[in-house]
Amino acid sequence: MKILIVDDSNAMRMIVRRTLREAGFNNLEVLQAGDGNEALEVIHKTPPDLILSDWNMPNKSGLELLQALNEEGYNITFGFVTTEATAEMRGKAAQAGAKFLINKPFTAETFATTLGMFINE
Amino acid sequence: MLPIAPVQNAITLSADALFELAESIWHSLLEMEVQRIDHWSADLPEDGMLTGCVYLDGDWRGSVTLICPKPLARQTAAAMFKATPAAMTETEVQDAIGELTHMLGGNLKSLLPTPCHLSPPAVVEGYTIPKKGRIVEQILLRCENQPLQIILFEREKLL
Repeated sequence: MKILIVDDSNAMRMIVRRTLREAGFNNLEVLQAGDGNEALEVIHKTPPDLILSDWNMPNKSGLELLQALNEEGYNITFGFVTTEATAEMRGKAAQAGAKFLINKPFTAETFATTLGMFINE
Repeated sequence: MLPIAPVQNAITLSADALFELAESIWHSLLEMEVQRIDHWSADLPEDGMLTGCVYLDGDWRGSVTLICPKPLARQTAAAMFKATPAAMTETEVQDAIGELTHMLGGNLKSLLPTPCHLSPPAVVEGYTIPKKGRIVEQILLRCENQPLQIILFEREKLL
């Protein structure tokens, strides 16, 4: 199963990868991108099965990435991993088709519970 | 939920609540413990300080500032990247401090009136605090036997 991690922070991408392993997801092929535009390039070449994206990023935000994927007709499971989790943002995320929103800081247990519904190793 | 009660354009956030938030982030993300202290009497590290800052802009305007000695910033980055402090580059150290500052700001944002925009983090050299605004709350912490300061500033609302 291929998973794409999108975050402008290299540190956070590494933490997400590590937390995936700690949550017991050890057999994933992990792709990475530093913003929404970079993510689109990766997706065009190698469509992943699941996308974990930050919300606030330079060039193209996570929400703009999700909207672009919708316009291009992709049907990839998409979730946000973000420092911001207001009710307004949760509403926008759900309206755009995001399956979940994980708030930073997160734990391996949160990943296991939330992503367990979508990751099929 | 943090005991915060936004009233019109004001923000009320207790130091206890700010500490709980910091403690949660440092523990869950870095597996590092922080203790709240009243003052820091020892000398500061000679290597200098780093300051991380994010701005919140909406019905409430202000900023969250994280001030950290460079050796602690390097240890923090090492904990984040699961590497040794010596292996950390300056970019990785700044990335780590920026991410922690952004996380503090993001969690505070969820307690503020909407709409509210959270800026990307900026990390600068030295002990650098906003020139304008008033301190709403601040806490001093000890981490790895070094001081760490978090300050919440409120800025005047633009007319």
